[in-house]
Amino acid sequence: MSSRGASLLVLFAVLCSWPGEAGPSVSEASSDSKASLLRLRGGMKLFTHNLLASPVPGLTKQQRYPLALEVERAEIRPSKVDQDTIISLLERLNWKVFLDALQAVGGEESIGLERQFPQDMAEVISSACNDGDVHMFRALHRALFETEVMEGQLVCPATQRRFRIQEGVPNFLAADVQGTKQEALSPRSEGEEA
Amino acid sequence: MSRPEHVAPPELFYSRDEAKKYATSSRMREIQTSLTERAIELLALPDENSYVLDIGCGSGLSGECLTEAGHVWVGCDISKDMLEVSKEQEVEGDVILNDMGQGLPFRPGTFDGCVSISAIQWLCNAETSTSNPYRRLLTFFTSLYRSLVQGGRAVLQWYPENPQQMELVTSCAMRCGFGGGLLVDYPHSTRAKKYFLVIYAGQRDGQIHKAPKALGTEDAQNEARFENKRDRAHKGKRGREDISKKEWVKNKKQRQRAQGKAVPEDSKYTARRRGPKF
Ligand SMILES: C[S@@+](CC[C@H](N)C(=O)[O-])C[C@H]1O[C@@H](n2cnc3c(N)ncnc32)[C@H](O)[C@@H]1O
Repeated sequence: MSSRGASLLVLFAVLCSWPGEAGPSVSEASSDSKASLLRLRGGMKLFTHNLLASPVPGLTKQQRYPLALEVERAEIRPSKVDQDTIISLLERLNWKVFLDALQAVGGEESIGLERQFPQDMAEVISSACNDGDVHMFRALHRALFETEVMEGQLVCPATQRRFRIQEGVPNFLAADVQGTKQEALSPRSEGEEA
Repeated sequence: MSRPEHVAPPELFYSRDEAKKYATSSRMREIQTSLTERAIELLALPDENSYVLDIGCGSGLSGECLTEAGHVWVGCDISKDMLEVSKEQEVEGDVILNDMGQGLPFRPGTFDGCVSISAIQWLCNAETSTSNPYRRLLTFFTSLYRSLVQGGRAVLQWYPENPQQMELVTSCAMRCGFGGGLLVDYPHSTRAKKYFLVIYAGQRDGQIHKAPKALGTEDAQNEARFENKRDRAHKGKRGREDISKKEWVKNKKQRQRAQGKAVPEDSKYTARRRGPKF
């Protein structure tokens, strides 16, 4: 894809303000001259985590969400900031769940942000959307779309069933779910969908 | 040629080698790309920057078209090898490993729309003796309905094996509350013929969905036509819309013409009552 080259330039500008070595779990995806050999593989964005729910059959809406996030390794994979996308997607975000996920990665500092996000989402929306605060957009973009979990776990809130994130891909296949026998997700128990 | 679904379960059929084909074969790329572009057109999303689900995203060919159209997407697929290739292709969307027949793991109202290219025929096959296609279809459509915003559309291009399968899949979608129907592009050509299940999760802001037009047809004959149960209840006993006798005759003649039968031209006498015979 040709957009990749362009976004690398943008990211370079961003990385210049990088505050040195970050927390142990987060590393920047390599983008130096060896980049042609080292591929920038994506992981699970924090935005995506915000919309995932447990696939375990027979749970209610409340029991499915949110999936607790445990992070072993995360990466920053820079991309172009797109304010329109952020605005249009922001409204479906659960802010509290996002803040918890960010803590699981290591907090704002670990992904190179100087300021903390407000606890209240209304504040975020008003500074991003009404005041057109560029820093807020950057921070949101960094946290939601550039911070990607490569290795970790997602935990079902109701059943504690664990779903592995491996090489950036969350695995919800019944056969691979930890600590459960295969029939745990079999169609037999599916009648009682909430 | 035998159908892939009859050869092996999808997670085995879409092996490393098969996945590689999707990344390297320009013919495959061309076909999948044009199917996806048509699906996106049928999806008719109100704006760019929509959030779209790609079911059976595979190596990410369909996803790349979504990116090109300005949308953010998430893909799910049952084959590790296909997803591995998508990661190597550096697609923009996130992908998850998931069997659509066991339900989609998303919060309600997450997606503005959904596409699926050449994947859902896999749901009609029982991979193991315990899995029941009917049940898997219901689980799939229930979770899809839930994952879409109010009035969200899903456009699912697929290869139905026979008319019974078309009936099974569309009726399952209806049972789960979807409106819409099966659209057939180029219905008269064996090679170019393509099936799209175009379904709606309720209505968007009180607007009634307009049935999209099929390609390669001059008349409205082959357009998608099924409504959900509630609409149906308002119609005649046999669930048919009240159409005039004349229209019915014209339709019938048209259908027979399409089958290559010799049918008299329509005229002002068509479907008129004949006078008494002496
Ligand atoms: C013909 S490929 C199409 C891939 C992609 N959509 C494209 O256009 O290039 C069909 C895909 O459906 C996936 N698939 C089959 N059964 C599935 C299931 N039960 N759940 C999720 N994905 C499935 C396969 O793994 C495969 O990647």
